[in-house]
Amino acid sequence: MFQLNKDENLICKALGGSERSWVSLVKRYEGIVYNYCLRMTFNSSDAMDLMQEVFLAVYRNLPSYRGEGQFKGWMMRIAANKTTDFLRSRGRNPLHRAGEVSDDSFDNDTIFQSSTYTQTRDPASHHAQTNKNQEIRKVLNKLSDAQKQVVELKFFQHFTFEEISHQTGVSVNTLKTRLYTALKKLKGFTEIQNAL
Amino acid sequence: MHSNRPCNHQLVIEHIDSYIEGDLSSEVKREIDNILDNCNECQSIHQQYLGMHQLSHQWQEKDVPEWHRVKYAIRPPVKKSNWLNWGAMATSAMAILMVVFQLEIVNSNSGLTISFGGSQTEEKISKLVEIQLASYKSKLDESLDNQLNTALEKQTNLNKIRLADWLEKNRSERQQDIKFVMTGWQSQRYEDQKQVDQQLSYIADNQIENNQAINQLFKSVSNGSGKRSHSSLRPNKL
Repeated sequence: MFQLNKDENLICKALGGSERSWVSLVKRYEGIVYNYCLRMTFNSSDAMDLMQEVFLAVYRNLPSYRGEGQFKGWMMRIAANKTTDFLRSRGRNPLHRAGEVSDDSFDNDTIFQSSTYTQTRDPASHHAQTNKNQEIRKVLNKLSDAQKQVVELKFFQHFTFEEISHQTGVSVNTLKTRLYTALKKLKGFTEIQNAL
Repeated sequence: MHSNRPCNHQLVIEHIDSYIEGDLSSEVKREIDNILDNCNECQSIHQQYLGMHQLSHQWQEKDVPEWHRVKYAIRPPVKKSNWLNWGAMATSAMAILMVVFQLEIVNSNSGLTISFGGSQTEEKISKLVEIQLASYKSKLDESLDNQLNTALEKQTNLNKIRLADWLEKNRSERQQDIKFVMTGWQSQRYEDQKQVDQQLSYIADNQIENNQAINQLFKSVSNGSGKRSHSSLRPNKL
């Protein structure tokens, strides 16, 4: 994909204090990170907080980014670490009940802000989209946090196992076994069968 | 489609993604095809993989709510107020002028005196400098004296220790020499005494023999055999 400004240029300028470059860089990737956080937390508010934390960490660590590999991979590594920390801290929080998916603005408030909705303005289409996302949410919710992360990075971010291993610090073999176990756990889900 | 031999699913775990992507060699692909034909679980995993792949594409991307993208990242530049700059400049200029014109403010009994040129306090300054120098000199002398005394005391102690060592060493050497001489003299004396005893013993033996010879002579004379030659009856020489 042709990009007017390469990531490296934007990073250089952002490090020099250019707000415009930083905003361009953030806008380029915030959708990926936000949706990733949304699928991992099932909560738009948490996803928003997590996304902000990720970009804050990205900015703080920008000087250490040496341009080796894709910026997206490097950024997703930070996102994966932040998400792991977040899910771990949420697991320790007694107010959060494990396995429960919060039905907050995940599919209500935020959908009205989505460009898809504003473009179509079609309630039927909106309902169908909401249902699809809810199905995916239902499927992912059956997985442990570690399994969810592998599924997310493999199927939604389309990373190779080697890239995921680099991002998460887990060996390739463990990741493959983890994915196999996750898929085994999802056996019998009609949502997956219907997708075929 | 049940297998005759148990499947450990390892090959499918290892290569399922490459199999679906079509990146496998024909040999491995054939093996996996065979496994999928015979193992229900691996077949199910294969279906799950394809289903999950399709499902992921059905995710409707959500737009990110509006947020402040630079608030937490790039710090806004600190605004420096103009009055501070002007104040700093004025203070600096005033300080420079005070130095150039040698401005002096003296608080004395007669009141506050402001003068330019610094002529009134030159003597005071020189006096102060002299006093300070004298103070430094006395401190320096005192310090040097202390250092000298300490060094002297240290050297004296060192000398005493060396002298005591030397005397001790010398005394023991002399004692050893005297002992050696005495031992030599005693052994020599013992040898001499031994020789004298031997000579005395020899003389005593000779004397006994002489006495015996004389006695025999006297006996023979008294028995009337005086015709014998006197020369055969002479005593042995000493």
